[in-house]
Amino acid sequence: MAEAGANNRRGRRVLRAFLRNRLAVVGTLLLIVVIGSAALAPTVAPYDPLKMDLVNAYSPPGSEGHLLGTDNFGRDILSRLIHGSRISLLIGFVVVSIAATVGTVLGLLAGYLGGWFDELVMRAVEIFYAFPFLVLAIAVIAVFGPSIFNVMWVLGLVSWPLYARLVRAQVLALHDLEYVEAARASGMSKWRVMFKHVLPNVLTPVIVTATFGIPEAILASAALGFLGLGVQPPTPEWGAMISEGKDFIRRAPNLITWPGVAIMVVVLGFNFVGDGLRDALDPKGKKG
Amino acid sequence: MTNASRLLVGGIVLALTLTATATAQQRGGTLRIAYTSITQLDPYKTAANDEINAASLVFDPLFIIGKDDFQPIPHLAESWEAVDATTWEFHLRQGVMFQDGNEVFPEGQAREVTADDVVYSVNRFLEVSTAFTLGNVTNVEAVDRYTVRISTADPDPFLVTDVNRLARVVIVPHEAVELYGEEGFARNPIGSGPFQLTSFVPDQSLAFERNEDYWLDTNLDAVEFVFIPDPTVQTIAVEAGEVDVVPYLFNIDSVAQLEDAPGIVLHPRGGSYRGLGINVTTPPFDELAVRDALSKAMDIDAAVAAVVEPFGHRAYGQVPPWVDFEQDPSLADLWEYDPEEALQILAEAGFNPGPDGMLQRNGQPLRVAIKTVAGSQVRVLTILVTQLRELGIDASLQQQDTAVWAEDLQTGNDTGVFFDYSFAGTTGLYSLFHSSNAGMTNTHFYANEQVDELLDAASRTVDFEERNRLWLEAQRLIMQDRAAIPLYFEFGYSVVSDRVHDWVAPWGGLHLVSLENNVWVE
Amino acid sequence: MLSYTLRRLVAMLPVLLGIAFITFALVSFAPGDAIRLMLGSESANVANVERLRHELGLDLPWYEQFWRYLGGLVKGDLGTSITSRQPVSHLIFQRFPNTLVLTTASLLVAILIALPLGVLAAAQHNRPGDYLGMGFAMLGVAMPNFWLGLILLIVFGLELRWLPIRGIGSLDKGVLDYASHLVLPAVTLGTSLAAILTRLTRNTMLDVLGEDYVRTARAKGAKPNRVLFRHALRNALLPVVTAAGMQFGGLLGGAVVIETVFSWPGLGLLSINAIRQRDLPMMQGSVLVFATCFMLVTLLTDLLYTAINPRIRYG
Repeated sequence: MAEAGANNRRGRRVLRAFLRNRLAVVGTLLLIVVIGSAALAPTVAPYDPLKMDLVNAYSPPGSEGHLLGTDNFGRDILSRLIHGSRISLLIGFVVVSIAATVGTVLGLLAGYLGGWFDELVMRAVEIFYAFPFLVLAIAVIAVFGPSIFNVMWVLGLVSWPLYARLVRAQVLALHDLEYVEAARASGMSKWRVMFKHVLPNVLTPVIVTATFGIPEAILASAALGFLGLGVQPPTPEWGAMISEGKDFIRRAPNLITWPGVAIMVVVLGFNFVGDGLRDALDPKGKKG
Repeated sequence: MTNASRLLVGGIVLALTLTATATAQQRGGTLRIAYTSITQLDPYKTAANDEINAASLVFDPLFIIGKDDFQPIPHLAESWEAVDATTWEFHLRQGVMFQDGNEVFPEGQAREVTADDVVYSVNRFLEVSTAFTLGNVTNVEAVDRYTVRISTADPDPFLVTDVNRLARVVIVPHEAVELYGEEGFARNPIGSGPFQLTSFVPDQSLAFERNEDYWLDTNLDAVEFVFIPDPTVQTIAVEAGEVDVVPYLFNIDSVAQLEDAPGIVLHPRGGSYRGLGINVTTPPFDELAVRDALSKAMDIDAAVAAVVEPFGHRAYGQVPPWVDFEQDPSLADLWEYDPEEALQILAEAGFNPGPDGMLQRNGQPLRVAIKTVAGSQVRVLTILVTQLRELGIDASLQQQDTAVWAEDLQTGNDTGVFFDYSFAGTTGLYSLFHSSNAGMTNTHFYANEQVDELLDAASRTVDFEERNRLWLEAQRLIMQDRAAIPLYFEFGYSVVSDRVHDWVAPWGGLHLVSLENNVWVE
Repeated sequence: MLSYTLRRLVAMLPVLLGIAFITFALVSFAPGDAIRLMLGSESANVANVERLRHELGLDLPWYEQFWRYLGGLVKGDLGTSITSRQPVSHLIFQRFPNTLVLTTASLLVAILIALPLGVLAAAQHNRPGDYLGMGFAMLGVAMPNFWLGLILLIVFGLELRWLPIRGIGSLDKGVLDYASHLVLPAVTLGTSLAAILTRLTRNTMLDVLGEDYVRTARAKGAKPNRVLFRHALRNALLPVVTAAGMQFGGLLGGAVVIETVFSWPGLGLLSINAIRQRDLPMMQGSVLVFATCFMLVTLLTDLLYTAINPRIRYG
């Protein structure tokens, strides 16, 4: 009972600290707009992102009906950006979900069980850490073919070590804490202790890391898209749009400008929110 | 002097001055050529144009494909003739020396190129070359110091005229191969060509300087190859003056942007055939009716006109216009755009609109998933796919990595309709449609006995007219069978800065110095 | 210290083995192989291509091929590239220094930007200098580096024509020529790291400035500037150096993309090409070199950390 109350109070305190942070609020608003327009893309976007209009190709921003102009196929850039946000956000969320889940579970088990399992997990972590992540991603996609699905699990594969390490360290730190010892002494099974007491405390840094993981995944998938290894054209993906646009640098540099700005805005949004979360959750944390 | 005559004299003087400056070659200077990747310089071990171009500077072939009409013109061989149906005799130029001043031939100890060198080179080519073949060569021998005879099993009219046959054999000195070994020779190429290698770091730096003892006068002091892997950046580099030449641009999107760029000249030469190939063993494309309907359902002329012209034009057959035998204008009659008829043919074959508006037969939708690689064809194909979808055919475009695309097509893996292209001229029909090549270059898996017979006969017929007739008949049968749906021929261009003169776009090698040209820079 | 270093070096071996195996498995099971690509060409000499397949041992079962490869590795032989038929080690070690140069230059650029900017931000806490520093820190990490590279290329290479738009310069033509080619790629690659380090510098310095002994020094009358630079900076240096070392892996990965944008002939471009052409030995070689480099740098950073911070000792 008291515990629940304490949690509520803590939650409210965190929320207030978060809202006091101006940048965090800005970030949240940005994300609401972006995620909202992504979810409602078919309604919000003025045109079909795949519809070609060769007569009006290369229109500059501000042309009639095309706020951001059109690309080399005459497709509306704004619509493509909005539909592209769906892809980027989807990839970001899925990748982080995979990585966080797999990493947390493995880290939890490794830290708690120790022994050969721990050794095995740490070896795996080292191997994946030492692999230059982009090279691994490129190799895997070359094997399995470029598709949104493959991009997602490859990036997930590359990111899980971070969470595993984090969680394992937390587990090891908490292992000797009094209340954990008390719980064990009271006869609770290993697993229940792990899930009821250890896991909740481990979740906080995981959530913060995950919030930063999403924009990282978005940037990574854009890089893969830029190299032609992500979602294939004509599906609009921001990185791929930049890659296609660079062939027309002379004629219409705005083909690469807008997707880049879009990426920046989304990443900034998540970073602001992540900073805000981290500062709010950790009162001893660094200010600003 | 009257005013009129003054004007006349002035005009003549002006004209003469202009002509004089226009043709005044200059000796000296460095030519900078952009390339995507050059990791080795043995001309027998590569299919990559960049590497072949670079190697062309160091070695001499027997003859080169001329710039005006794609006919072979003398180079190392002064003349040649067919002694009988299966034997060619080549007469070598005398006094051609291998480059000296290196580890193989020290300064002053150059060796003359003789018939034995040609024999050695041809034999080495037959044994080592993976990218090109000479057909069925049975014997190469030196008749005397400057005469070589090459014999083939059957009459092979293409040995000398096809850019991918004997034209690819450049003459190499056996001492260099023996001294350096196979790997080393690729890093230290030594030949009899107009330029010798001065430095080479794979994919980083590559420089040549003039061979002072070359048998032709050479204008350029030096040639430098500049590493630029991205074709778009290559063209930008020419505009910016950082390089002088992009030897061969395959991408007409880039070419289109350069049409009006100041200081740049586009040199067209040859190109490629691009079309839709059909795996005739995959249902429902094993039915002629379906293939025929497909060809009628697309307004190819409009798509090609919108995207490709003027850097290419509609193709009605597979053989491109830059090949030495007649084009068949009547092939155009085989193809028409008639969507209503297409739908009717499909209806007769059992394809009717389903609940979602898409055509289907027995519950199976008519699915046309076109596998393609990146390139200008993507735009054309996108338009065609849209047209098909509007008719109710479930068409889509699947863009793939080249390696995956090649494998899918060769194994016939789930391929129905795919994008196909070809750079070969005369031998293209054989490679693409002869049953013996099924699963390799014949990714249509097309096997027609009559066509096979015609193609086999053509490749053995020395008489030009008769061969022509056989090829045309074979092509007509293939097109009537709808084994492929030709889309367009795309021209290839060299992108050249206007300070470069006498440039000939590469075709079977890059020739900066030959009997028909001598590149010079301002 | 020495035994620690040795233990770390030995521990690298199983990791490298694991990486080699994963890469091998990936390319072996990939659809499309280098030989097939050769066969796909219309003019190919099928007999010779098949013979090449046999010579390179590509017709052997995968475990035999891997065993052969390991045997070669032990002798320092990284195999022969399928596409160019040149020794892999030769090609890699000609290209690898370029990537090293690029990443090192980026690291330097990052530190040169981050330290002054971070100090400024800390000194002007919550005033314009701080906003500048933090603004840069935010934007720097949010910008996709290939996009920044393209923008810089357009502005400085195409419009202003101040800098060359591609490739590596040649030391033969002078240090200035080499540097002019290096500037854009290094700045591009270094920017996001600079952003991270700026923030780190600023925060660490603010921490240190809030510490007791600093306040004491101030109370004793020491001028603010000297306080900043002498005590705070030296203490901020440690976490910055550590962070820079840890981010090195990110630089290596980013180098792959930047090399593509600027036609920089490094290991990144080599790996991408190798994958596209399914050139297995080349791919394995480059991945192993990348991984080894990364692990060595991590080791070095850890050792450096000990050297700078006498309070930590590794047993």
